[in-house]
Amino acid sequence: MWKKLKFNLSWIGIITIMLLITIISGAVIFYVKFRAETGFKIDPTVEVDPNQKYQIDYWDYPLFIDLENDYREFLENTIEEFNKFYPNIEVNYQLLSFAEGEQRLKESLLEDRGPDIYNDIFGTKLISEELQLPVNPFLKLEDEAGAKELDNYDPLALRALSGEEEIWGLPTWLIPQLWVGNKGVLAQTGLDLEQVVQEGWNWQEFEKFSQELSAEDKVIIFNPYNPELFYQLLMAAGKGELISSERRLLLTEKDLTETFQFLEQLRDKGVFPREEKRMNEKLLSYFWENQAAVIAPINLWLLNNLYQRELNEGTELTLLPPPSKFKKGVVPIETRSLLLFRQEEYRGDDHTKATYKFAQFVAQRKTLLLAKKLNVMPAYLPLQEEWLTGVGLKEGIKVQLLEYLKQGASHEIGNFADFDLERLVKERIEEGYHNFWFEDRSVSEIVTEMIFDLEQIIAENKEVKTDEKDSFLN
Amino acid sequence: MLKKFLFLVVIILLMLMTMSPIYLEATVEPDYNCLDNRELWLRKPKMKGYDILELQRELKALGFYEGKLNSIYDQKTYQAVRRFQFANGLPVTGVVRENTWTQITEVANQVLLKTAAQNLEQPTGEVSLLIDAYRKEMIVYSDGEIHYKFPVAVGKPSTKSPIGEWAIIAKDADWGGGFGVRWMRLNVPWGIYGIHGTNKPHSIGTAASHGCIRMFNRHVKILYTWVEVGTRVKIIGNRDPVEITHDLRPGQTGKDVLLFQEKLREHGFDPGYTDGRFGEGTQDAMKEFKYFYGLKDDLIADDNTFYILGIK
Repeated sequence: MWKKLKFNLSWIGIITIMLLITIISGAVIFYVKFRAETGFKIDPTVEVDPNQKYQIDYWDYPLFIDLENDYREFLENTIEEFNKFYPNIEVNYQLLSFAEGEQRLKESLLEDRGPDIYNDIFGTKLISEELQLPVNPFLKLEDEAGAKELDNYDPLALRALSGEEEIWGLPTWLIPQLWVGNKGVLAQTGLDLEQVVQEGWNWQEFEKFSQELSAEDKVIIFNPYNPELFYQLLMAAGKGELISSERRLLLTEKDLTETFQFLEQLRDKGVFPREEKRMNEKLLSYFWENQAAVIAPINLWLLNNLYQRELNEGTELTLLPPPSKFKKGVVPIETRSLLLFRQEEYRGDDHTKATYKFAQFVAQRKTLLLAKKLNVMPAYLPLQEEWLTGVGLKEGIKVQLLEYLKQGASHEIGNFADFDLERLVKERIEEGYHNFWFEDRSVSEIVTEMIFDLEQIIAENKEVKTDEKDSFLN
Repeated sequence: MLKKFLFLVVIILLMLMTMSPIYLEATVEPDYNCLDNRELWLRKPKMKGYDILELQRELKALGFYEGKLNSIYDQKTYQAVRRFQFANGLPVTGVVRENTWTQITEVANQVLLKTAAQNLEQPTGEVSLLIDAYRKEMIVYSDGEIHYKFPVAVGKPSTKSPIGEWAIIAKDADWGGGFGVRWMRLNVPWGIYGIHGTNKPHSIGTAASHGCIRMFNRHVKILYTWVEVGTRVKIIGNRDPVEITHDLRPGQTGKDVLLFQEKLREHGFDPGYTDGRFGEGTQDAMKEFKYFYGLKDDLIADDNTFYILGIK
């Protein structure tokens, strides 16, 4: 009997142990998964282990595009310098194609082959909800004196990378979104340029100025294929945020109508070249041949090309703020940053720290050289004064840039899901902008359709969000 | 009935022979940039030309001509030709035809062979060629390392060699005639250019050709065994100014496309080989370019493109 009981007990024991193992391992898996799904927590105080080898993948673009300056050499020197401080952190870099780099990044992240750091030179900011790492745990860490790294970055840049109490990238540059004016042609209209730089201008003032331009037989060229111009106008009018955190469309029919009407009034005043649909083809020739007073939108790279060419041309350029609906508008400021990612199988807080250390090194120690070469303001405040003395821009342009930064505005990015929704909203706005230039339709027609579609996009996505919430609760 | 049928067949055949592009392609001599041998003789007015200069140079080097290198087929040149023909068992006519050129080549090569050492090893790596029209020199690379240097003759100032990055697209081992031995054609889109031997060996080291690259016959034979169809050939040197007068689009070819490719590369956008063809590589570079500068998303090189690249 006893023997039988002993036999039975040992089986019970075995079964109990097996059950315990199952429960514990299940709990561990659940905890790890739960942790991954509900906000990834990083311990920023963990240090890089000097006895361990780390491998960091850094993806960038060949930013010095002329042959004289080798960006690879710059990166290799940067890594070599970094390795003097952290010889155990090996940094492997890859240079991406400008046109296809972002797509490649997204695909690689989906396949868990993404980098640890990505240089977001096109300002996309939010790329992967699952794998992108916030940097605020590091930025908010206090040193022995109680100082935070956060305080060393321009608040405009930090705001542009903030969403739901996280900061989604380490800021590198600040880029005011400006239009380019031909100083000589502007002078013919009697425009008070200094006042425009100091105070901005509203739509009425801009229309009056364009009338004077027409009288002088000069033109304005807007690239109808680049919708950035439309966003710049919205942003200058304080309509930079397109949807609210409750997924409500912040852009009203009135906002869209007024912005399109502003463009239409310019069109009616005959300030664009005769072949309006093809005016983009004349963007640069008219500017350098002193036919165009204002050209827009001009991105950072094109602006740099204009700066360079200005040295050999008789034409002098000036920077202008996009006009606003109000008397005192704001200058839209874009931020570029280094985005940090983790792998699906988390490599640990020490690996993340190693990743952050390299990003921090680039943002704080190498951005100055880049910012000087690319004529952009560094987002790291201690570099800004040195940038001002070292950048090869004309004094007048530097003064203008500083003034525009003072008038600058940026807005928070919200969360990943809203960011995706915003992308859909933008696609529809861009379609409307295209229709305005290329289809013979009235503003009210275009806007009515846009609003209808936008409301539909919002409603569909609200449903998706509700469905997701329901399935999570079930 | 049969007669009618035969008549019809003959007519069709005749039409095919005279009009069919296939037939024309197969029979008409292509317009080679380097085929320049005309018949030379003493006449009034006197014949002039670069080929006469080359004839005088060769005959002088061989000791038959003592006059000035004046490019004129004058009495002295005529006498020198006769002396050469007599010494080499040719009909003494004073008229320079293909047979006289061939004999000049042979004699000149024999003379040059005596003075040149030959100790050339086959390259083991991937072969590429750089032709330096400034130095009149061809550098053979094997896996990017210099393997050997050959002296060459390049295009004269009025008919410069095509500057660019080319590839060998055809090889012929039995060409003879004006080309000397061996012919390796380059994929230059605006003419027929190649690397070949010569019957004017004393032109080597000078700018003498109509744009082709001339080599000593013994050298071209060696080079011929080293290269393949597809071997890359880069030619550097002076070039006549090129003007871009219109938009450039995918599929177009020409010197303007080549200049545009070079400018793209200079500004950091890699079009692949600068071969004067708006092909895939150039299209990829254009895609990057337009995206980078925020311009219209097409592949057309227009005024904006030219302004940014500093062509305008």
